[in-house]
This record gives sequence, C-alpha cells and structure tokens, in this order.
Amino acid sequence: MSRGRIFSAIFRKFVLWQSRTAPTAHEGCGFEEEFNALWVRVRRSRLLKTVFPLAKNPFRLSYFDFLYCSVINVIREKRNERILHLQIEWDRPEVLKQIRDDAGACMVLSRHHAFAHTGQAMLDLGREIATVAKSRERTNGRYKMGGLSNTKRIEIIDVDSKCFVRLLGACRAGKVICCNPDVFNSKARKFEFVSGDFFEFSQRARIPLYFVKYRVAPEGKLKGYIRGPHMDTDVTELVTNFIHFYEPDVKFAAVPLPLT
Amino acid sequence: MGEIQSSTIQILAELSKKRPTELTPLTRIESLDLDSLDTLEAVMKLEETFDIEIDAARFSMCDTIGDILAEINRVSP
Repeated sequence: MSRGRIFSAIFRKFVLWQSRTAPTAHEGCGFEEEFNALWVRVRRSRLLKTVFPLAKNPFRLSYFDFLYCSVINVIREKRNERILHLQIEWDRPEVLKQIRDDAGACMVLSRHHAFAHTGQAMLDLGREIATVAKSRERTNGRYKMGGLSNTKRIEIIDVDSKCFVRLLGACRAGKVICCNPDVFNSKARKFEFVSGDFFEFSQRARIPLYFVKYRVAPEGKLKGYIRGPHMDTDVTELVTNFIHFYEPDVKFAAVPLPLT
Repeated sequence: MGEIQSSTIQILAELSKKRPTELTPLTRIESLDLDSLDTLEAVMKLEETFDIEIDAARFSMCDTIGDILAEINRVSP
C-alpha cells in the first residue's frame, strides 16, 4: 500500500473513531444533525490537519473538502444511508433557474470528483442528463453507491471515437451534458490538466456552456458556484476562463489532448 | 459512383488524411483513425452537405462507409 493510501486510511479511521467514541448526536437524529455534530468535533483536529497533506489526494481537494468527504462517508456507512450530500448553497441560484426553465440542451463542466453533485443538481431541476465514461457499468455503480437518485434519467455514453456523435444526439434530445474536462497526470498521480475537447464540442454543437465548482466552508456548509452561459467564444478563451474560475483553489494547465 | 457516395468519401478522406481512391463502401470506419472530434465533424459536414439530420444512435452502429451511405440514403428526401 502506498504511503498516500496509508495516511488516507489513518485520516478516515480517526474520523470513524471520533464518530464512535464521542457523544456526537442523540439517538434518532437526522443525517444533517449527525453530520453537524461530528463536523464540529473533527474540523479543528490537529491530527487530521497533520495527516491531510500526506494523504492520497488525486483531486487536490482542500482540507475542508477532504474532511467533508470523510465525514459524509463515515455517517453514511454508520447509518447505512446512501445520501449524496447535504443541501448545496448556490451563489447564483438564478442561473440554475435558467437551466431549469430552458428546454434546450446545455453543457455543465465540473471536476471529476464533483460529477455526482452536479449530476444530482441537474436532476433535481427536472432535467435529463448525459455524460461520457470509460466504463458505463462502473460509473453507474458508483452513482448508485454514492446516493445519486433517479439514475434512470442519466444517459452514460461510452468513451470511443463516436462518443461526441452520441452526445450530439443527447443535445438534440434536450439533455444537459455533464462532463469533466480535468485530465489525470499519470506522472504526478493527480488531476492537473484540462483538455479542450468538451469546450470544442460545446462550440460545434452550439450549446450554452456552464462552469460549476464546490467548496466546503469551515462551518461544514457545501457551497456551489456556477458561471455561464458562455457562448460564441474562442475555445482557447473558454479553457482559460475555466482555469481561472478554479483559481486560486486549484491550478490547472491546459493540454489539447484528443479525448479518443 | 453516385454523388452521395463521392461527396461522402471526399469528406471522410479529408478528415482521415487519406486519398479518396483508397476509400470504398467496404472500408471500415475504424481504419480511418478518426478521433471523437473528427467523427463529430464528419457527421456535421455530411448533414450540411446533404441537408439532412443523421440519427446519432444509428450512426453509432455503422461499421463501414457503406453503412454510412445507407443511413444517408435512408434519411435523404
């Protein structure tokens, strides 16, 4: 087991231990109440802050984002409840209303680790979504395990040379295309690059483009940030805008990789 | 060679950087080595050239240039 995995396991086990040994919430309390109680207990932990930089973190999450995932997973397993996330507080809810009310297709881009949040947000608006994935079965399984509801309204398209044609079909059916342009750097073992393919697709298909990111606040609230629609813009400029949107939280480098 | 066939082969030849004379209805699409954006470009150019809308699901099932020609003929007015 790699050192990163060992420290990730230590991080998670400490959160689990805290959930079991401390009186975090009363019997019969709701998921959110239990989350808040455990969050308050662990968020300032010196041990966790020391272990965090050493833990495996391919998505380069911030400390609170990383802690949020651990706390949610621990409570899920403890309660045997598949809840994806708590309420998202959006900075621009009017943009979501625009996506909800617009019958036409659009594309929403976020990072890989945030797909389920974005997918669920779009499903909650009543929209059907489509995405591309290397393994349809594994992706579908992950959605269900993660607590994504209404998975039947998600079209998962295999990544191959015809995937953009199928995505075009999904656009014509009025679906929201949820994709992740961040690319894994196999040397650094982290998602450090941004590929221009999805941006190129949105311009060729002439569909509005939105960017989404999430940040967990120190008090444990999940905040969503959305920008768009971006249309009729140079692809290089779109990629640059996406990279700037994520700064200073995380830095990306643009790489013009073909998807397949 | 009909007009539909010659125009289709011309489009695919340009995108795959092959000579049109190398392509026939029996040519397999995967041998053209088109990436996903090239394939999308091919579909959009075919639609524009013949003023049609190609069904994405049906196009995905096409293995050869002949299959593409059949699909174009199917949806052409």
